[in-house]
Amino acid sequence: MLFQQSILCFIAGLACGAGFLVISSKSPVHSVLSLIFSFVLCSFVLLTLEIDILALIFLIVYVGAIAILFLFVVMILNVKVAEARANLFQYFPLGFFLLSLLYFDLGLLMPASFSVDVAHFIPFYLEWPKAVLSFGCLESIGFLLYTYFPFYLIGAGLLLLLAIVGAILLTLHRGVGVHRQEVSFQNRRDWVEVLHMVQ
Amino acid sequence: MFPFSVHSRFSYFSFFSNDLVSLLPEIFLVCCICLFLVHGVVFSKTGRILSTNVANLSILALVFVCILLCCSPGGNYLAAYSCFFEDDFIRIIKVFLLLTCIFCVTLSLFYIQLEKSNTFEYSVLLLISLFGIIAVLGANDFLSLYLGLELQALSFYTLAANVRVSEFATEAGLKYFVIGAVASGFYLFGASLLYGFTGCVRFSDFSLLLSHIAPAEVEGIFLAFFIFFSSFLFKVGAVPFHAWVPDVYEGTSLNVTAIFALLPKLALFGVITRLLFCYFFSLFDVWQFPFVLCAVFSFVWGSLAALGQGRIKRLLAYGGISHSGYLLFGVCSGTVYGAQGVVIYLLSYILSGVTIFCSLVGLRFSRVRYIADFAGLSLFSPGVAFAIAASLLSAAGIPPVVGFFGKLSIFLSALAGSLYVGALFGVLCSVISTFYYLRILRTIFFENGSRPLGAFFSFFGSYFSKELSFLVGFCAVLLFWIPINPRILFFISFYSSIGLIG
Repeated sequence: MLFQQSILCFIAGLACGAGFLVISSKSPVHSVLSLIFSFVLCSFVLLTLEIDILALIFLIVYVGAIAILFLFVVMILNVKVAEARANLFQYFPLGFFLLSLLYFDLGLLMPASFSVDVAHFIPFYLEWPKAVLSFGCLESIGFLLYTYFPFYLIGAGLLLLLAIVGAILLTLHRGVGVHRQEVSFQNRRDWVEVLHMVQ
Repeated sequence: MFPFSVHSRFSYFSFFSNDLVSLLPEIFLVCCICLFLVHGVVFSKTGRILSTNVANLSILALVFVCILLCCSPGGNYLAAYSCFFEDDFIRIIKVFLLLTCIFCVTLSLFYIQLEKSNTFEYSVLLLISLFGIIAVLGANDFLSLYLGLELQALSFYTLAANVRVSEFATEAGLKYFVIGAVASGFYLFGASLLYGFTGCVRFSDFSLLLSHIAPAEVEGIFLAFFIFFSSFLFKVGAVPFHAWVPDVYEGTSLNVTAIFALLPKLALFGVITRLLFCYFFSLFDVWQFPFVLCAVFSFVWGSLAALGQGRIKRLLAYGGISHSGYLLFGVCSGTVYGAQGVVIYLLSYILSGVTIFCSLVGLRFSRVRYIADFAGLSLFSPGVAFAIAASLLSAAGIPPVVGFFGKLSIFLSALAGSLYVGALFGVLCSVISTFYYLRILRTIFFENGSRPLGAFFSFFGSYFSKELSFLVGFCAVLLFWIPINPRILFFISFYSSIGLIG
């Protein structure tokens, strides 16, 4: 228990350090990189707490999609280094306010409504048949999702389809004057007739 | 439907045996969406322009969905493992949503042909957003409500930024996106807190729980409740959360503005009324005062800020803010009359909105942007001038038009709920709003013809398409006809409000 807790504290401390690096580093690329680092560490923390599905979601969604998108945007934008440095402490009151709200929320309201009986912490013997036969986190979510809530799955699928259609609508240009590739026509052409040697 | 599943030992099969029947309109709509998408992708490969084709097809699909909805078995039922709920209130609002959507597609069809917009995805996105709105209306669950809200919002962001060459449209799309993301964040935070404090996910469980436990005993539920509902206030543009409305209305193209103004308001006020009346009514003492404040600020700010507006779209946006204030005020009365008033007000809002937006789309090429540009419209085109006058009078709530009944029933229900001061403010703001609506009418009827309008009419003659002129005429006549024979309006609204309670 102590070993696990010390590992947890170490990783959480590293994550806090990475979070500090996000706001203190000079180059925006570095701060995005340390943001990714802190996300990875957070997913480690979740893994240590045995919340495996959330840890995977953290890795896939935050690191795989959002942070990489940030990185691309930052690299494309080519932001000046000196500007970000000047107004670091400008946002301090706002951050402090948000932190105090979070503390109020998590520290005062939550424990009162989630108060747990001490009897839950009495050590118990591991029942091996139960451990083998019971569902894991992912399996139980899949079981519920596919058996009882397939409409959510279809709705989420429609949402993804919508994202694709929207992106196409915003980028693809349709019209009469647009040059487009006619694949069959191109394949039918004979290169002997098309190529000419210029003297 | 499935004979093997009725007597099956696996009880969860029987959940879905009724779903096909009860969710048939929605399933048909989704199938149509997928079909139109495939149709568009396959046939536009050869360089054909399918925007008009798909828009016509989607009107047809919407008519079929409407017929399916009218033929549904009726009664109250839960579908899809109680993710969705349906009663008479929801069904009536859904029918009106579909009719409004048909109007919007017709209006956009004219605009699409006018602007030579070549994207068939426009109609498909509109259908997807309609599906999302229908899911929002029937949701019985935090998750299904969220999925519906996101479907609606995501397609609306894209529709807002639809016109790529316009910087204003891009700005409006981005603004709407940021606000929508904030609203979604509020929604999710509030929903997770509500789940954390009560352990309920379904809305019907909340009504059961809160009727047995004093709300004050559930710690933190008020905070969670207000965070949850502020997301809806964001979406309808009630006053502390209204800042995005004028910019988004102004930046987007006219057909999209019409969609933004008409469709979500119907669905969101339907769902707000249902949530507050059916599921969170035990918290009535808590939510009444803040929502009344919100409503009063909305119509005060909406009418005062509209006084200084020169642009017609911005004026309509502020008018929309004050309209959502009145609707919220009707909800806050907490009586059956309030629910009835909300339905009547919504119908009159939709009618007047369709009329004015169709007229504006028809006058599109005349570059009418400012109110002063309307000068002398009655000389050039008396019919359009009459339609605009009817819709503005209805929005102002002047007696011979249907909008009067909406405001009257809202204020009467407020008096029945003892909201005297709020009702007083409402009447005063209604008088103030009459001023700027009448100012437009003075410009239309009593001022000399402006240069752009005169040039437009001398060049094009009357440039309305058949469908559009039919729509304008139909709605404008309905605006005057319903007050002559208001039985149907009162019957529909009373029936739906009874359905909400029972």
